[in-house]
Amino acid sequence: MDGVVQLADRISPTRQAGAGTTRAGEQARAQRFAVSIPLRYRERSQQEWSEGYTENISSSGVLFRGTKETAPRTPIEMSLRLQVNHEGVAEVICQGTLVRVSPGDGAEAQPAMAATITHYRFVRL
Amino acid sequence: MHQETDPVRILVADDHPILRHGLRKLLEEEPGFSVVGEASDGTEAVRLARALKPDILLLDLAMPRKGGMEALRELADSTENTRIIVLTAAIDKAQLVEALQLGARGVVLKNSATELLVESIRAVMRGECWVARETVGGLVQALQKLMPSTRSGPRNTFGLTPRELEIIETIVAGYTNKDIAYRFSISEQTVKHHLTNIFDKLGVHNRLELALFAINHRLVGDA
Repeated sequence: MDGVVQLADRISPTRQAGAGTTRAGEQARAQRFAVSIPLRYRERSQQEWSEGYTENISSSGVLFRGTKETAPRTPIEMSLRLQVNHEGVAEVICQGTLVRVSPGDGAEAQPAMAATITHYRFVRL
Repeated sequence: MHQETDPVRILVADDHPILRHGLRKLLEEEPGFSVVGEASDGTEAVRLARALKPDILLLDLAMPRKGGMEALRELADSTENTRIIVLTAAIDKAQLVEALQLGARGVVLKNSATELLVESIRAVMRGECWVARETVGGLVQALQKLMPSTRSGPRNTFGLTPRELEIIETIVAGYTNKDIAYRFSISEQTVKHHLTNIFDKLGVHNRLELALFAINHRLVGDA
């Protein structure tokens, strides 16, 4: 079974051209990184973006803090700005759903929100 | 360039009109201060900062259309004579560090006393940095957390070849396989071959995970 998954994984990313779908099987394996990346997010039905930053992130989910508390189970769109090299700046547009919200506390004023990432695409800026 | 005898020209960017008007009134009562413009969102703040070239931009972080941090990012390299003071209701450690890294010269909380805001503007105009005392707690730890490169040794390249590292840079920058092939004058099939090797070496499963891995392990950027 592992062999099959490995093969699918190996083919999948090279088949993609800057976009992807996170499959259920990947969620258990995705590496999680404690990196602070600026992000914007909004409910999928809304126009207005709110700002935040990631606390940790994998390719299947993200924990972030943001200026606007949003209700769990809300489908959201997130935009991560990757601004780290001389090749330029990229934006990763992610689709997902908020799964958990914790209010800000004394040390961190902004609420913490956990969201799944089900689809993403890279956009060069 | 601002001369000491000139009034300090201030641009106020905040989405709340009552706050903007209140600030204008308050600042214009101060000798030597002149409010030259008001912006109600980040987009307008960027436009007016470039057009009016104020000495000081008082910049709220939470604004519609374009937030203050994004405006700060855009203005970072293009407004050398404008000193930016973040005026915000709340700011966490990561935002504080990011704002300072992007060139903000001051951070003032909206619940500060009026005198502190005035003093922060004068301090920043003297060439100093002003960070609200309430926000300083944990700043050192936040800097240490966000800038591990200053205390760690040479980066680990995980056995990647120079070409594979170049390809990772392009992935993080959002290039498609076709773009990468064009960029390096190789075939898309060769790009796929490189990506397969990269994925195997790093144990990642898709482009997003690769980009996050690269950022987390400093495989891209100035490292």
